[in-house]
Amino acid sequence: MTVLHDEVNVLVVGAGAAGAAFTWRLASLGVEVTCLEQGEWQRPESSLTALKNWESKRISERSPNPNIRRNPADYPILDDTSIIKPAIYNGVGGSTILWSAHTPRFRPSDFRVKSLDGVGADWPITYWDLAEYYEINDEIMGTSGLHGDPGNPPRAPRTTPPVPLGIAGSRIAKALNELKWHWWPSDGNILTQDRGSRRACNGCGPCEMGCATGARASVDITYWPEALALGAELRTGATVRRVLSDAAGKATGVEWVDITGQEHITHANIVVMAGNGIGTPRILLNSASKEHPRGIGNSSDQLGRNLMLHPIPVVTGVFDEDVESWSGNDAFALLIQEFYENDDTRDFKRGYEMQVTRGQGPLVTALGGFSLDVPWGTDHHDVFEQYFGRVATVAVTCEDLPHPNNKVTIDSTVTDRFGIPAARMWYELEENSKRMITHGVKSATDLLLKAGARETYAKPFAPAAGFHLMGTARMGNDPRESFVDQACRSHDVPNLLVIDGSVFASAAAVNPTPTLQAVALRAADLLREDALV
Amino acid sequence: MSAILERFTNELLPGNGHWPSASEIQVSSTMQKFAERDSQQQVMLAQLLDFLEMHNETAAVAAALEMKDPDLFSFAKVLAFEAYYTSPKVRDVIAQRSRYANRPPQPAGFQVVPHAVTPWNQDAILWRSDGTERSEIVLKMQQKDPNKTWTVEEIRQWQP
Repeated sequence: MTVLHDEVNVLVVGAGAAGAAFTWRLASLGVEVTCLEQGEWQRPESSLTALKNWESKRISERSPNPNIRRNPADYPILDDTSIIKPAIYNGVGGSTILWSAHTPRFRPSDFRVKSLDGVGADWPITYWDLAEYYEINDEIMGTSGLHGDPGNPPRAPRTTPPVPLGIAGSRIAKALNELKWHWWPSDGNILTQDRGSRRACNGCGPCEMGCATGARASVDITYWPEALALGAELRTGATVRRVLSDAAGKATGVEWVDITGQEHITHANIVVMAGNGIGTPRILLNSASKEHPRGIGNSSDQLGRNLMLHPIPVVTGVFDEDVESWSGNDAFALLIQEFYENDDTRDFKRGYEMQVTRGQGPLVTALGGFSLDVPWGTDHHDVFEQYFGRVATVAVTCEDLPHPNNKVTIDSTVTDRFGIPAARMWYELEENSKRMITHGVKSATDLLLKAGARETYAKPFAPAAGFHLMGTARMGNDPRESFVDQACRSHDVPNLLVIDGSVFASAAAVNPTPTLQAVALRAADLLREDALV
Repeated sequence: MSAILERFTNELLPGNGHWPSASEIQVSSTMQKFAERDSQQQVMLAQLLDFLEMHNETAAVAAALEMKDPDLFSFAKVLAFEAYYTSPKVRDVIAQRSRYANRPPQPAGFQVVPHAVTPWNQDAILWRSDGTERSEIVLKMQQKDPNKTWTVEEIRQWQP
C-alpha cells in the first residue's frame, strides 16, 4: 500500500485535556498547529443520561475502562499486573469526556516534595510558574467555586458559585465545622449558571456519562471550538504508530494509520505528545530505532517508569433518613485538606485530601456502590432499601510517590486493530501508601459518624480508579533522572515535547487535570518565546 | 435452558411482598438479549448456561457457582442485576418506596439542597510555603487581607 506523506509545522498527538489546551494556545499565538486524534468527535446525543437504560450504558459502552468498553478507538491496556485498572477515554476531548470535573490545584509544596519532605522528586518549576496558566485555564473551562479558600494560594473569582452541597454534603460540612477540620466548597469545571451555549448544572448525577446540558466542561466544547476558529487543524480517526527520527536522533514526524487502514507519514518540525500517562509512553516506547534503542528519547530509561495513580480508599456512611444520594454532580461537593501537608508525627510521608461524592443510581447501588456489600438472595431487597438514597461516600485521594517498578511497558503479544503493541500497567501499593490509606480511612470514618451516619463501610482502595495517570515521562533538571526538561522538551530530542500528566514529577493528592492543562499552556508559550515555532 | 437460568436468577433476586422476583419480570430473557450486544458476553453466558445445566440437580446453584467460579458468578450477577434494575416495573417499585423518580436523570435533573453552610476556618491560612521568596510574599499578602479579590493581572505578577 502507498504511504501518504504530508508536512506540518507543529504536530500534536492526542486531543484531550492537554492537547487541546496546547493547540489552542499555539493557535492563538499565530502558530500553525495540527493535532492527530485516534478517536472521533462525540455527538451531542452521546450523553446517555436521558435514556431509560442509562445505567446499563454506564457499566458497558460508557465504562471508563477501555478493556470493558472496547470502542474502536480504544487500544488494549494489559492490567493483570496492576491492582488499579485503567480509566481513560479516546476521542476528541480525551478523558474529559467522562471525567467528573473536580479541579483542585496542586499546592506550592507539591512541586518541592524532595526538598521539603525528603521523598519523591522535585519539579524543576514551582507553583508560581503555573499560577497565571491555572487562571487562563479556569476561565476557558469555566470554573465554579467560592473565592477565598484559606487552604490554597489566592486565585481570581470563580466563574460561577459552587455546586450545591446537597443534604449529605450539608451534614458533613456541619460535622467538619464541629471537628474544626479544613474544608471548602470544591472548585469544579461545572457551571452553576448559564454561560453562552452551556446551561447550568441541573444536578442530574452521573457526570461521567457525558453532560447533556454542557454544564460540565469537556475540552471538545471549551478549547477545541476556539482552537479550530483560530485556524488549528484537527484530524480524527488518526492512530499514531510511532514517532519517527533521523540519523541524528531528531524527531521528524509520526507514522499513523487512518480508520480505513491507509498508512500516513506526517513530517513535522516539532512533535508534541499528549496521549496521557499510558498512551504517551506506549507510543514513545514503540518508537525505538537504531538511534533510540530503548524508545525515542529514552537514554535515561525513565520512560514509562514512576507511574503514579493516586490510591483512593473510599468510606461510605449509611444514614437513617433519605439524603437523596442519587442527586447532584457525582464526584464532589466539598474539599477537605486537613491532612494534606506533610506531618512528621504521622507514620507516612506527605498527605491526602478527602471529597464527598454522590450520584449513585439504583443499579450501581445494588452492585455495591463504592464500598457497600449488598448481598444477593433473600436479604437483597431489604438491604437495598436500607442503602438506596441513604448513603454518602467520602473518597480519600492519597498522594502517590514515584517508584521505578510502577510503570507502563509495551507488550507485543497483544496488539490493537492496527497491529500496534499494547500497553501494560505494572502497579502495586507502596508501604507509605498503605499507611496513608489506614489513616485516611479512619479520618473519613470519624467524619461520617460525626455527620450522623449510623454505620460505615470502607474499601482500602478503589480498583477502578485508574484515572489519574502521572509520572511516566517525568520532568526534571537531570537528564539521567527525568525524560523532559522544565519546558516539557525531551532531554535527548529537543524537538519532541511531552505535555500531559506523564511529565508530573510528583502526584500531589488532588486531581491532576487543571495542573496538566496549565503545564501544557506554559509549554506552548515557552515554545513561542524561544522562537522554536 | 431458560428454566434453569430463571431458577438461578430467582436465587439471586427472589422478590418479596414489595419487590418482584427475577422471573416475574423475565430477567433471564433480558439477560440473553443484553448478552447479544457483545461477543465476549455471549461466550460467558454460554459458559454460565453450561454450568447451570451441569448442576441442574444442585439445590443452591448460585452459591455453588460463586464458590467454584467467582469470575463467572460476578459476570452473571452483574448481568442479572442490570436486567432487574433497568426494568420499568422495578423502577416503579423504587419510586414508590423512596423519593427517587422513575425517569432518567435528564432532561429534568434533580433539585439539590444549595450551599448554605459557612466554613469555620475562613481566616486561617493553611497552605505551606515551598521555601521560595514568592511563597513568602504571597503568604504575607493573603494573611494581611484574606478576603481580598485578586485579579488575573495581579496573579500574573507572581511569575518568577
